[in-house]
Amino acid sequence: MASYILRRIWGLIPVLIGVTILVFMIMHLSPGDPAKIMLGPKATTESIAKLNAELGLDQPLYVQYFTWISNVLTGDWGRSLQLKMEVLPLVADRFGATLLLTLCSILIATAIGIGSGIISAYRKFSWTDRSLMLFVLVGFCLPVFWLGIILQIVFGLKLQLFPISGMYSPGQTGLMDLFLHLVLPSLALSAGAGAVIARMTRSSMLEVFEQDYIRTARSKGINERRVIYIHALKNAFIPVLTVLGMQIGFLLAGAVLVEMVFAWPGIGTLMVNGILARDFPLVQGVILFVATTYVIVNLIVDILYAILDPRISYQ
Amino acid sequence: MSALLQVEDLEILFKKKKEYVSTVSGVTFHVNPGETLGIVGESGCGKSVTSLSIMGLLPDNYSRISEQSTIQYNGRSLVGISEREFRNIRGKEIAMIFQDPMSSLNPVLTIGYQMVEMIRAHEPQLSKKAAEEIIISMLKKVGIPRAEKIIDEYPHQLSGGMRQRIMIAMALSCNPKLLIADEPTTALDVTIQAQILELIKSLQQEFNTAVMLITHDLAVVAEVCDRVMVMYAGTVVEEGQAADIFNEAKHPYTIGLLNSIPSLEENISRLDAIPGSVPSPEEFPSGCRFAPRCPHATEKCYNQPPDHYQISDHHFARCWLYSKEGVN
Ligand SMILES: Nc1ncnc2c1ncn2[C@@H]1O[C@H](COP(=O)(O)OP(=O)(O)O)[C@@H](O)[C@H]1O
Ligand SMILES: [Mg+2]
Repeated sequence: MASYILRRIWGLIPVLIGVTILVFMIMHLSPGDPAKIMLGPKATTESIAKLNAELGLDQPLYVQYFTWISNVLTGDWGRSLQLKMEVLPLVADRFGATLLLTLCSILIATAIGIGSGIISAYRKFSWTDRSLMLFVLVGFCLPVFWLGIILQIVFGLKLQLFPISGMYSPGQTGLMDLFLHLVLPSLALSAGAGAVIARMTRSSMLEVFEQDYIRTARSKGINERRVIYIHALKNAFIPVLTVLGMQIGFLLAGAVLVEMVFAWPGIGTLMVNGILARDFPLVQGVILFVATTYVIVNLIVDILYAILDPRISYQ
Repeated sequence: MSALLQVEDLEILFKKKKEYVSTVSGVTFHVNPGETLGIVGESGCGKSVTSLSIMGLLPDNYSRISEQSTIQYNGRSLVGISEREFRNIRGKEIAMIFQDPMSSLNPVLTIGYQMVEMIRAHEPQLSKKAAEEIIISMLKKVGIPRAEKIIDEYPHQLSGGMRQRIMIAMALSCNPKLLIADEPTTALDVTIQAQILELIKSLQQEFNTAVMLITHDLAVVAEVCDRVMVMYAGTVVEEGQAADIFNEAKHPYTIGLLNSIPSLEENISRLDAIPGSVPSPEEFPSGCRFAPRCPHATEKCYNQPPDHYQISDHHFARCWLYSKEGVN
């Protein structure tokens, strides 16, 4: 098992190199001249050329890439052109907020998704099943930002239950305050993933319920909870895990929208502002961070796979 | 001697397109303590459904047992009892092994886990360690080498024959009084089949367990059964001592089955023996259900269902040929 994990980590290196090349290319091949934007509309050609030389933007692309990558590896992720701050601490600091939001959403999506999937499968074709699945379909179809705004209107403005923007109320730092701020954005973000997980759990459980080993389990006289939560769920969870891994990518993408709607101080807001300002180092830093997270999450999913399914060999 | 299991007038219905269709009906039989009853018939005759009804394992949302049916185990009725009461019967009093050992064990749980779980469901006071000792000795009894290692392995690491041995060890681990073996050898290689049958036979003697051996293969029954019941299209067509069935089969269906056992001398192809196939429950004939395939069928057979007619003390056949008034 340990050697399997080591091998998987080793295998990540080419993937990460690919990621850095992609990130680099996207920013550098997209139109728009950062020096021009920084200096404003009245800039002269000479001052633009001078700034480009200072930033190293006049060098050939591969030189720029290697300079950038060796800096990245030594922890120097450059300075944000717009915010005039070091990129790495900036991104790392904001990433905490995004991670918190995403993790909360995953927890909600998994708990609600798997819970309702199991109930639906167990009571298949009943009214409970039908209403749950209708609910799930609606949850899946709603655009994240729209759902976010509706939640703000209903639970924030009308019912006054939860704050609708930011991470803390002004002047406060308490856990409870953070929690209250977290509720609406994580609900908005979890809806889509929860719906997908619920559907997958339902169909996977239905398939497992038909298997011979479930009949064997019942024939042993063990209680029904064991049959469902150990014998069935342990098998049904394997395909759900794949979907879960993929949903984490969507959640990270969705976080950008949710953060904008709820003014959540995460990397989503940081990135959108960075893109608008053509702030190369900042956007590169954010994308690199997110992509690396995604790759690592997938590694964890693969390892969980190997733990859950004894039929997968690590050889 | 009072019977261990007594089934009377069992009728099982399945929901097909909104209405319930009778799939098994008028099934009456008993199993005495320690004996082996063979249940034979082509596939689709209702053998598995009958055995699942005894275990209370029929799908409850689209099947039911009709009211007049009685299933008594040790004098207790098993019809309509609660799930909870049934759980105390399953595994502990009546255990079951199934046709396909490849799919009957949970692929993501270890052999040890699956076996220990069953013992501890019925004897919660037993420690995991004590339960493990029991299963190791059971595994040794069914002829599994390196039993101590096997308990940490997963089903996919073992062959079909080994898995069926494990199913048998598991089924017998709570010392049930009745073992229902539903086609336990059908999915196995011919060489393994004989070993598994031999194993069931010897363990049955050791534990004095009654066995209901279900099979579509009369040759299997010949080796191990005391009594034999032949099922066709959801009814019992003939029942008797194993010797009665093998030497003096009366029902044309039983005779057909016997003729279709491939023998070394003559090479009868199995398909020639009985023309046609088992009808599905929606299209059961109104008279004798075997009439359309029967060489002796008369108009009466097509119109009126026959009753059970006694041939000798313990030998019955459901066929007009053996009624007082005859086939005409
Ligand atoms: N799950 C089910 N749903 C509907 N009908 C079923 C189901 N299981 C069995 N049956 C019906 O019961 C009949 C007998 O099946 P079964 O007991 O499996 O036969 P056997 O074990 O003798 O091969 C089948 O022909 C089928 O019509
Ligand atoms: Mg069967």
